[in-house]
Amino acid sequence: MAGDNLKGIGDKLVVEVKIKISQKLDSLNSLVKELKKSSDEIGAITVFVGVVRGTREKEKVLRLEYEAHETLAPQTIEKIIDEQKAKHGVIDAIVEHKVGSVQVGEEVMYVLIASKHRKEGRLALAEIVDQIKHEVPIWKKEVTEKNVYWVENA
Amino acid sequence: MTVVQVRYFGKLRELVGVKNEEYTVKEGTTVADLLLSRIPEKHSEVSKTWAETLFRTIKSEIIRNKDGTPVLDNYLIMINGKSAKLNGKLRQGDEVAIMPPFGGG
Repeated sequence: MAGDNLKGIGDKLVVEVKIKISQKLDSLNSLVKELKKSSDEIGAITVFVGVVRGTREKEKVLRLEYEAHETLAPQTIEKIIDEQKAKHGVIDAIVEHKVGSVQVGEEVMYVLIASKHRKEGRLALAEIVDQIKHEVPIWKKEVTEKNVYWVENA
Repeated sequence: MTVVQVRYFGKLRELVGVKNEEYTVKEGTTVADLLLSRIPEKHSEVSKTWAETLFRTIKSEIIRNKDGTPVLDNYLIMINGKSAKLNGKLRQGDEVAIMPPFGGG
């Protein structure tokens, strides 16, 4: 229940950032609904969906395998979102990232940003996705028809 | 003696074949001692690959800073969730996470 995360601060209702790193993502619709509950000032929800690509250069990808540091990964994402909320003035955010084996075409990461207007939402979304790739202790192994690669985000 | 937990991730976990290990070290042992000696001694069958993966090397020789500490190859060492210096001393109960470059998203 999203309401479990609600905290009253003065006359404002603040929802804590929701971060989930697990083998299953929630439905995108349910996350949008949940995010909308955080404030009636929300005018835009900007969404990034990461999908497992089926090719690596000319090789056919079979699957990706993800692992994460179970405490540091969500803590780091929370810190990134807090920084971005302060920087861009967005209202709230949800991040979900899969771990374990993920097949080609499957969705692997959701980032949703709630903001008053689309402009700050888009800016925050782009920066948060980049930061998740470079700063969060998550590792990815790409299994192709020919080989296995540990992918390091440049 | 000091007991610490070591956690491996990604390609290093595959290399050593375990996720976690406990090491009992002498008081005053540094993070660099653990990475340069204790772990490769225990995993001697992969010690060369260990060094070449974790550290910057030239012709299998580990590059060192002026103070003698080895130079990591974009790896991050965290102790109890905080970034650690290689010349820092290990303390009882420390959790040492050895983390390859990240690949999320």
